[in-house]
Amino acid sequence: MKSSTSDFLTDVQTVNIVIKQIGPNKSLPAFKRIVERCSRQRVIQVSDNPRRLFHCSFTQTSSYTEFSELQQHRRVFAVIGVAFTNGHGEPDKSIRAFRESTDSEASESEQISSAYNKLKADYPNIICGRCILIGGKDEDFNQVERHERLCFPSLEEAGQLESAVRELMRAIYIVIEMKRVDVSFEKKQEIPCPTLPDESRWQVGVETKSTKSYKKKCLGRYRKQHADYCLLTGLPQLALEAYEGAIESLKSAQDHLWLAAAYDGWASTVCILHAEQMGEINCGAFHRVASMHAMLTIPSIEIKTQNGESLSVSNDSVLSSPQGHKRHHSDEHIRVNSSMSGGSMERNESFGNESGIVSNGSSPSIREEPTKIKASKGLNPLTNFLSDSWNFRREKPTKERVMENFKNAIDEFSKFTMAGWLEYETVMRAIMYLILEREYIKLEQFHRDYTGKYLDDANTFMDHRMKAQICLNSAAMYKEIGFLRKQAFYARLSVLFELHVTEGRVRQASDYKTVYPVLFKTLEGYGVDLNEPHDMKNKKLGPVKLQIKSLHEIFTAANRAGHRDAAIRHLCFLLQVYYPHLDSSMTTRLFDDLDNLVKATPTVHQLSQTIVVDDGKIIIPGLQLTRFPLIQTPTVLALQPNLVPTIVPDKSQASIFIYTPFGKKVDNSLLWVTDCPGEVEVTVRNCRETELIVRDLCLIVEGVNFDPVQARLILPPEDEENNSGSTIRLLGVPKEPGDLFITGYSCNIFGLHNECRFVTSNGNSHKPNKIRVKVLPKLARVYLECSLPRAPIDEDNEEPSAEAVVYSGQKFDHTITVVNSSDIPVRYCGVKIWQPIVQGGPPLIRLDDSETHAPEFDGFEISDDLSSFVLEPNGSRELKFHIFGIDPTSTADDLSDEEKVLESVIPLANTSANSETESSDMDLIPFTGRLLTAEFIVRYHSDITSDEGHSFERKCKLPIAVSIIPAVTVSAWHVLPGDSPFSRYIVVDVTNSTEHDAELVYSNARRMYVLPKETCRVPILSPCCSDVTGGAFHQAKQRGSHMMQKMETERLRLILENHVSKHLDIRWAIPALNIEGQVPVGSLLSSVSLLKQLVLPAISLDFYVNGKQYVSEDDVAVGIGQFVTVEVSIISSLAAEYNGLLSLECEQEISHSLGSNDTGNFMLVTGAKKIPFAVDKENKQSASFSVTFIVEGSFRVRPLITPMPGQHALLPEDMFATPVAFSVTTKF
Amino acid sequence: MANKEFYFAIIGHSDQPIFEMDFPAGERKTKESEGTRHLNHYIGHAALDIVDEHAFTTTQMYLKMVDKFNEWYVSAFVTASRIRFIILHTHRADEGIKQFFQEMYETYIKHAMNPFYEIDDVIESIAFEQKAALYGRKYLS
Repeated sequence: MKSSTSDFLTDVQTVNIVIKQIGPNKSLPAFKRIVERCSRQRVIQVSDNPRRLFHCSFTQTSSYTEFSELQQHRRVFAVIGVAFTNGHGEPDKSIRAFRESTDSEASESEQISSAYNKLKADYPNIICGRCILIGGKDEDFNQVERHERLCFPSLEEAGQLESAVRELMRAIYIVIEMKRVDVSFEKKQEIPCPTLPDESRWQVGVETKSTKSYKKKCLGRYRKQHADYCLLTGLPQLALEAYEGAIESLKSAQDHLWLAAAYDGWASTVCILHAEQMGEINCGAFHRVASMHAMLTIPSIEIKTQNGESLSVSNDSVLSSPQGHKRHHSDEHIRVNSSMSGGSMERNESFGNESGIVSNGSSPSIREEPTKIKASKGLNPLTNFLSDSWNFRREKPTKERVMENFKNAIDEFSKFTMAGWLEYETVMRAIMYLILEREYIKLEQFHRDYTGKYLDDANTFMDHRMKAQICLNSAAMYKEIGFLRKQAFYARLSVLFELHVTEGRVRQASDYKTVYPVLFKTLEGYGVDLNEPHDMKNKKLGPVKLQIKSLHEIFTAANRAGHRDAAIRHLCFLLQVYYPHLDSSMTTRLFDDLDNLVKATPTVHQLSQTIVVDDGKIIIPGLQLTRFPLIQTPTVLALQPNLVPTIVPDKSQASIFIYTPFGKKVDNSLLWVTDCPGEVEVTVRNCRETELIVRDLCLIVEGVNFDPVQARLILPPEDEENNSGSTIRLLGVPKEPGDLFITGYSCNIFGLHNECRFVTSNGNSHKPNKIRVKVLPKLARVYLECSLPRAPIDEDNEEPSAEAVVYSGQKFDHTITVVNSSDIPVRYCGVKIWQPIVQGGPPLIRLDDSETHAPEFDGFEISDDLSSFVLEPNGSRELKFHIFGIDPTSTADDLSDEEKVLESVIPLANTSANSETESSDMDLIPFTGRLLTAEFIVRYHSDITSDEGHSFERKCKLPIAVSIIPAVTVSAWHVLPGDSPFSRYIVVDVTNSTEHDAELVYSNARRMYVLPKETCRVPILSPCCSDVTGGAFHQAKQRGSHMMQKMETERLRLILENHVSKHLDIRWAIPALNIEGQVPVGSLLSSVSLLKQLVLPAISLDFYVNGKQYVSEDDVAVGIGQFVTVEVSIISSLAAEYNGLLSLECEQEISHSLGSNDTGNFMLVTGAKKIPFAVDKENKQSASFSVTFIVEGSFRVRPLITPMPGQHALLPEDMFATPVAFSVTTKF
Repeated sequence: MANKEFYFAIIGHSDQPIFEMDFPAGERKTKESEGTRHLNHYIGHAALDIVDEHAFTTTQMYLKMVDKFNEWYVSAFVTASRIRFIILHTHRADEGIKQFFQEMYETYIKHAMNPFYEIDDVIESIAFEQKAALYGRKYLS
């Protein structure tokens, strides 16, 4: 069996040594180690000038030894017996026990001795032998000759083994060398002819020994043997010459078999020389050294073999040649020089002289032929080699000649059926030559032409196993030259031969065990890479049909060979990668096979584990069965809102730089907490047409200890409607803080344990998707408890929630408990309330006692918190609060307008001087009650700090839904002049929305009853506010920015609210329901247009019609032409005197929808139309007008003040006056 | 083998057949022919090493007969874009095969010029099949 094609070539220069285990105790591992140690010594350097290498191979079997006379490299030159004495070499214990019981110690040594002698007897032509004894005493084995005994106490102490083996090799070398130098056959007249053992059988006729032809035959055969010895002793150049001579003689003697061998030897020698020069085979490295001198100074040399092993050849193994070539050291400088200029000549010269051989007369003529070294000999290595070596030759061994001689050898061999294998080996050597020449196309053709006949059915000389071997050799050869597809083809062909069933024989598991590795190695040729994670959408899979077929064959071979795990792995690979390309019947069959295999396997197959088959020669990588089921798009979810932590950076350790490029941002994106379940959302798809059951599905993570929760899925079959997959969440609990990497998932599918990585595909590239999640230390957990009933606010939210029902204006007291449910203390717990913003009046929810008990921390902002405290482990704290039923229409959240000034109730009348802008702010939501929501928000910091000084904050919330039932509310309001110019009546329309009578108490025990669903008007006297000047609101509007205007307006509103709220205290009680409360006047207090009117104006005007003060909104009825006296009293609140002209203007009210128009000419004023006045804080003045109307209708008469020159104009809000309404009729 | 048989395949860059056709065309697929088809796949695939080696060493597109296994000869043609056309045939018909390859090359180029066709995709054009069958009848009989 050849492991590579070059073995066919190197064999011809290698001496065979058979090494076998003998004796009663056997230990295969120890024996293998000894063989390996011996094999490391397979090359020794036997001469340094010329450099000669002696090759040996240590084999356990020898084949075709009957041809050893024909080809010396087939001969067994020595045997080595390896014996383990009792107690050494780790023999099999059962055998040992058996041996011990039957045999004595003495008989063991006898057995070993006799076995060794038998081994020697098996190979009668050997030169010498060695018996390696491990564990025995030297004196116990006297039956073995002393120089052949190699006794070692144990394998470990056998340090001298290598030198002993080298000694044996040297001994063999010396014997062969002696044979080589014996060229007496050239001169002898009568010499015995070397013959093959059975040659007489197939020889036709009787040979006359006296003929010239016979003599030539003998001489040719001797020359052939001599050439073989030359080759074996490391002198290929001489061998070449000797082969030439042999060919000449044998050709004329027509000794075909030997001629074939001589042709083969010649061509092989050329190949060896060629390969050595190219450094292709073992000894090549030697010849690459630039000069001989350099080689001599090298203490030890590494020889690279083709298999990648390195052989160490030390100079101590250099054997002095019998001719004493050391003398060359004296003239070394000459040789070095000449080797630089014409190395080839030098080499030839030394060969001739050193070996002491005067071969067939060609050597002495060497000097006569001058050698021209051409600088440029082309790139062809053979050309260089040939011109170097054979310039003196009669015929140059050109490429063609080499191939011709190979073909001659093959032709000659083909004449002998029994030499079929020799012929095949020659073919392979020719192929090796073509490999060296890189002539791959010729090689393929040559291989096809010459090996085809061996594989033919007509070839009965070779059995199917030999044919399988031939195919395997071809496969190995094609692999060497990189023709992987050819290799796969021939390997598969060899399997077909191997499994060929002859009559009366059935295929055994062992047959499949043999073919399985061969088939496995064909995968590469078909483009199947078991290591590559296959993209399921990859269209560059290769020849899919062939791949499926070859994978199925491998699966079958593995299954029948009993490699059950390998069979499962191959089957899963087939399903994983080629599922879309399989037809449904095959898919069903494969799944059935898989099911049967899994059932027959006692343990759960681990798909991720590497499988080792055939003593480690085959390694099947792990597989990720990502197709069943398809799990994609992993997304790490944040924790529940009440559990999600945020990292609060420690501000006290802030950088000394404000602006620094090294600022580390706190990453709050993905944070999990120890002992708190985290979730990863994935999409799961079943691409099979049957139901798929996935068991033990859980996440695979790295980084920190993690406790995944296993899930079981039953996925429905995929059809046209259901092919988008379903989304599921995989759970797990991190058990320690740190960086958690979610790398993939594991599951049990089809009874197999499957582990897969998450991958991200970006175009054509796929890389593992590692999701990093930061896991924080275990944190405290706080929740809120409230005895209020649970509110149906949000179905998904698992947080507690509460619901309360109050009447508007009612106050409702309750408590809430903050509970720390963990055993970790909370060092800060702050309570906030999120609620609708109320502009005026009390808020919806208010904590009864805002307090701060928690120590202050620099790290974070605590000013927003209404209350803060510390919570012990498993501790709790109760907070009191009250809910006030605010006017449900008056929250600021309703406003879409940027103006935060509310006008939520309809004013009774447009009484202000200019109220157009405010009217657009009216809230017209019907007065039917409303559900308001508020939230208690508790944020807390566990008493845990990270290494960086960060603390961790969590929030918990308790939403409260407050349902406000309207009871007694304000429906409209109006500001009327009070009993003096410095007071105003706020007339409030109060509506009782309940079904029961309501009792109102206002303005210090004034009482009033309101019937159900009725409205009553409550006048409340309120003095004007002198803290705000009349033009303050106007000035606020003149501010530079909108925000400044808003802030100033709000400031003024707050002053006025404080002033007015003292007077606007209307309490209600419904005795039937036994409830009481306060009429919510927040809407009034938030109305700037109302409050504005309570500012003391600069000028107040009081009307008297026909001597009667005009106070009400009622129209004054007059007839057309009827004169009425309108007296206007002018009151000033200004400190300085104000001078102006007072006049009246009239406008007609046409309708509510059309408004009014200025109709000054419909009113006639008799007397002075404009009356001058001068007023100050102390002095007021009256002016009287006599007016009549000439057209019937509704008219409003308002005063108009024109400032005197030097006076500033009055702003609308600087003047307070109620227009007088007249109803003019024709008849009165 | 009495009948002349041909198996034509266009092989993509990953050794995958992108078009296959048997000649004489139109014969019903028997179980035996399915088996032959498998064998053809193996022989054709193994010949690709030689085809590639030829393609490296010669500038010719038509590579003549490059391989043989049992009764099957393999002839090949390599396009400029290294798409390989191979024919497995039981009888030598070099001139006809050469003509067939030339015609199919032109047809393939026309097909490949379709902007919706991506190189290495399986050829599923009915017109292409009809052309191949036509040229098969014309040159491979």
